[in-house]
Amino acid sequence: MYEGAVQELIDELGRLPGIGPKSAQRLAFHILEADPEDIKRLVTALVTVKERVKFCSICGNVSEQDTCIICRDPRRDPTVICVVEESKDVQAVERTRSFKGRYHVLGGAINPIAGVGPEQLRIRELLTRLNDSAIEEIIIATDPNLEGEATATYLARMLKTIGITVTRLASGLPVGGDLEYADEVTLGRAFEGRRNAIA
Amino acid sequence: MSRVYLAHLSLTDFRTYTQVELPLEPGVTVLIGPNGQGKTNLVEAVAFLSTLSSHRVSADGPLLRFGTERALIRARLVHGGQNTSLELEINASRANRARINRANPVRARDILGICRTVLFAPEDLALVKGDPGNRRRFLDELLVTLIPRSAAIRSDYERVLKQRNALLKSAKSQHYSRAGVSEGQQATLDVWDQHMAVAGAQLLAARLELLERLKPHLAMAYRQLTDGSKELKANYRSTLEGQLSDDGETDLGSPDADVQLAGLGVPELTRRYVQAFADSRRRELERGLSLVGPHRDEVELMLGSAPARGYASHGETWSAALALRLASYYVLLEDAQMEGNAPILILDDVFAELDTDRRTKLASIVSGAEQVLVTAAVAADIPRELRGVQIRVLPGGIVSDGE
Repeated sequence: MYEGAVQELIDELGRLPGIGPKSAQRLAFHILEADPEDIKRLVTALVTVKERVKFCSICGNVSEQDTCIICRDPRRDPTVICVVEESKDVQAVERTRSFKGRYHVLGGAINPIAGVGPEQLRIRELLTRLNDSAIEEIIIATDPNLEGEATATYLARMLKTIGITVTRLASGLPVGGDLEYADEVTLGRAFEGRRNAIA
Repeated sequence: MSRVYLAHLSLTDFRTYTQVELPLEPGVTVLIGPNGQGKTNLVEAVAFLSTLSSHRVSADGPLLRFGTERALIRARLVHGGQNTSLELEINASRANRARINRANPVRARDILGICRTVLFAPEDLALVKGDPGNRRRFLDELLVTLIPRSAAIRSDYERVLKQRNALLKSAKSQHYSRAGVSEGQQATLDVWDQHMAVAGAQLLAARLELLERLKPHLAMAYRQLTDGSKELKANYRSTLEGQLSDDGETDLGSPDADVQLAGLGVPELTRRYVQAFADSRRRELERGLSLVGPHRDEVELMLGSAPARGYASHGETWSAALALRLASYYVLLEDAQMEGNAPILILDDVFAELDTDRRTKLASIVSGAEQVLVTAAVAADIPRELRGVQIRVLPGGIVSDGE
């Protein structure tokens, strides 16, 4: 245990995700030794992000204005919505540069153990968006784990009656990978999701 | 069939051992020493390499030497003249890891199936006398030893079950409120029903198939161990077909219903689970937990026309427990015809508990195995058929006595 301010800082840093007690201590001492100007910039950045960044009123993505850059962009295809769990997933899909539609961020996945049900997710907002007749396809891009799959099943069941195309991202082999190193579940999924090789 | 045996075992911070080296030979090895010196710790480590679970404790914590953060089990297996080295790291605060042939660390699960063992222990009496969980675990562990990838089926099911139970528990309070369970909750339950049906059907199908393979061996092993006047049979009682009440009591049902279930295949079982979950929705909401599924099934052991549980004598209980272990050995041996991966037999402190007749019969059956590890407090407990290399286990170390 350290005295007063140092220990307080370690405790605060230790509360961040992915930071254990050892890392918290290292960060705290780095901050102690750092240039005061650098630390001021860090503090300003922290305060600003909490003050200025909100969530897009349409898709739920992080945004500095009422609506996010993607929802405001008129070049985006208004007929397709890609449903993801978190804002970071939006960035992941954006990096592919192959998706031109818009997003909907759920804010998590159905997880009863953590007390997250459909009511805690932005599913009602998604349904409201679907009143817009321009939307033709929903791509469900939740994580390929148990909770993500359950969320996908829930969405698929709900959207079935609405009469728009609902698709789910494919699961399978990583590009550039080796067949022999693939685990059985992934390989099994790849078999199920195989496609016709003759165009 | 190629020979497989454990040639060297090395433990670091495992149980009472700071460090211990145990060179081994094919054939019979007897570990002798007073109680509390660490005989069982040695064979427990071998079995842990094979199943990633201990026959003595359910959590890994007690396997670490008291006050340490990490234990290591290292083993060298000789497999048809080739060496395979296994290293398993048991960690107190993070996931266990394994290394095969000194390659990069992999998930512990990846070493399943490399070193196969069948372990006999006094705790096996619970297989016959204990609650159904013991028999389900027996079946599931054998399944994983036989088909390592079924570990994923089992853990998938456990995860779905946990989530669904959490949901049912939170919905239970709504069920008893005036408003009742909301439509949203019902729809969410439908989703978990679907996922649990898929996972449950896979686990059920795998268990049923395995039990069909076990049945003939079980009957034969029991005959070998006894005078043959009674027959030991195992029937799978599934909550799916309503052969079990919610409290696990066996309801009426034809004894070969499991054979019919086994023939259905995963898609049909999935469909039936979905239906069964829908039918039991109200009861499950009342209790706030999952009542139907492989986690509540039973493997019923029948001795003649009476259930072994509750009706078998002490001697019969022992014979039935040994027969279950022997049957799993025979199933693995049958499988080894193709894989060349014969199991190592481990007999932990069993001979002291058996009468002379059962001792002799068991000894003559197991003496033919590729490698047998036996522990006993005194040499006199070991039947003549199993006299092999004797190793003395003393406080903190071992001494080899030779022949």
